[in-house]
Amino acid sequence: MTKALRGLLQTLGGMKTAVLGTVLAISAAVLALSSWMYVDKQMINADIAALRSGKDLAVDAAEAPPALLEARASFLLKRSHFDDAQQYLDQAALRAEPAGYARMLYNMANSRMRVAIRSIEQGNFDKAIPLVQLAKAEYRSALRIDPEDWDAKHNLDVAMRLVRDLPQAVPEDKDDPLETPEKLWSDLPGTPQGLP
Amino acid sequence: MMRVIFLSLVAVFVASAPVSAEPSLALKDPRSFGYFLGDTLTREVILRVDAGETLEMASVPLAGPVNYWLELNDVKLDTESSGGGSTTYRLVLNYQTFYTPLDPRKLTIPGFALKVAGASGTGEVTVPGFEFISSPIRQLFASSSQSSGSSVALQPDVVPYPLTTGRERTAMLVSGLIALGSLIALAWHQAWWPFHKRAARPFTDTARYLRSNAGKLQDASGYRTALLRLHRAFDLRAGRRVLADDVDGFLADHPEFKPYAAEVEAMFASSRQTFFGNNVDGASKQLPLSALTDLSSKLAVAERSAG
Repeated sequence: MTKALRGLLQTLGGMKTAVLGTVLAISAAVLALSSWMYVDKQMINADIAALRSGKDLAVDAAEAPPALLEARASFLLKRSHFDDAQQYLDQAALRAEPAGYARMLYNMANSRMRVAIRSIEQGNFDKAIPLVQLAKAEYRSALRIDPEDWDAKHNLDVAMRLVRDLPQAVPEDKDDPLETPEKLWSDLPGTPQGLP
Repeated sequence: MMRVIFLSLVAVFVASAPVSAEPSLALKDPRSFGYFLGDTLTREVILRVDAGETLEMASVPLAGPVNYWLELNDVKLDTESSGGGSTTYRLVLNYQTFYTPLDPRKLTIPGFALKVAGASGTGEVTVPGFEFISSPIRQLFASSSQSSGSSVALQPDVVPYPLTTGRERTAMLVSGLIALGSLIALAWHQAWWPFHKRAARPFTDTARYLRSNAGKLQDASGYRTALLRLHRAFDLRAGRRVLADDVDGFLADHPEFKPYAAEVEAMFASSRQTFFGNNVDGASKQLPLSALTDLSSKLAVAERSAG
């Protein structure tokens, strides 16, 4: 046992150059990779900081990393440009982690709600109602991803009190609408009268 | 205790159902109170059917909106075959409520029917609805101390946070230290700068000198210089002068050079011929400069492997 160990140590001693060279090569590769990743993240962080401080920094929706999509969308949504922000949300839906996408949905809904509340204060209900409806759908999507998001719950509650959800075409307590087939025909123009 | 009673009631209910008396149904329902909008409720339906009976998959609820305030987010169905040919179906239903009550209110998750196909036809097992109390999360009217706008005051946006770089920094630090350490160890081992002046590696120094000055050492005086260099290396290694007659003693003291005994002997022979016989041409024919360089490289490797 000790003999084998000593033999191994001697072999290793003879291969010192090879062992040290391998260790050096691997650690240098890790150093290069981690430095590159660090610099990359620092550059993204610089862009995020610029957007947060209010600098209008253009971001390519198709290429930018998810964190930057979020920062750019946040910048636009703070200024109520939700139509411009939509492309960033669409990209985030594909590429961002769910939590980040939920945050973007929440910000988007908040932006719509702020415009809707302003419109209501000005008496412009026609503009406000669809905005609140969209905001509610986005709060719901955010809550579907994170059911514990209390800010989204609170703001959805505000939106619900502005424009309530109401049972519409689907009757609430009829879980199987096929059981009442006569209702299927109610929207048809004209009702068949008698037999030929 | 309450749950046991509830489960047994369900069992009684199923047993008395006229359509299919065979399948047994058990429910694991969550608490029935204390829900807010956006909360999730998980119902578990455990259905056991006898041999020859199967659950019709078409009767299992599909994920999607149930009604305007309730969504079925996720449906999981596990099938287990237990003893006696009976099959146990474990149906996990994950609902999410979006009802926004103005006061605590009883809501109902609608029940549904599972169809079981057997030899005698298709029977139905009714899963009862589930009632729970949902509560508001805000007061109904803003109190007089608050401003009139507080009923529509929103929670603020999420501020985009910068990416964390701690992992990269740690990786950089650790790999940088390892790289530096291994580089220093390698330089020391190979007698590179700044360790090249160390006397403990005379053969390595000589080998480097012979390799890098091969062009300058082609003539007779160069050959002499090369031999002198090698002699100096032997002297430094032994700590005293090594003459041709001392070679055996030197190799006994430094066994790592033993494999090259013949070549060392040859070198001392050609040295004798060069310096005492004054016959550089003859010596360099027997042992050319390239052989000297080779020998010094081999001795350098032996020297390093020894420690």
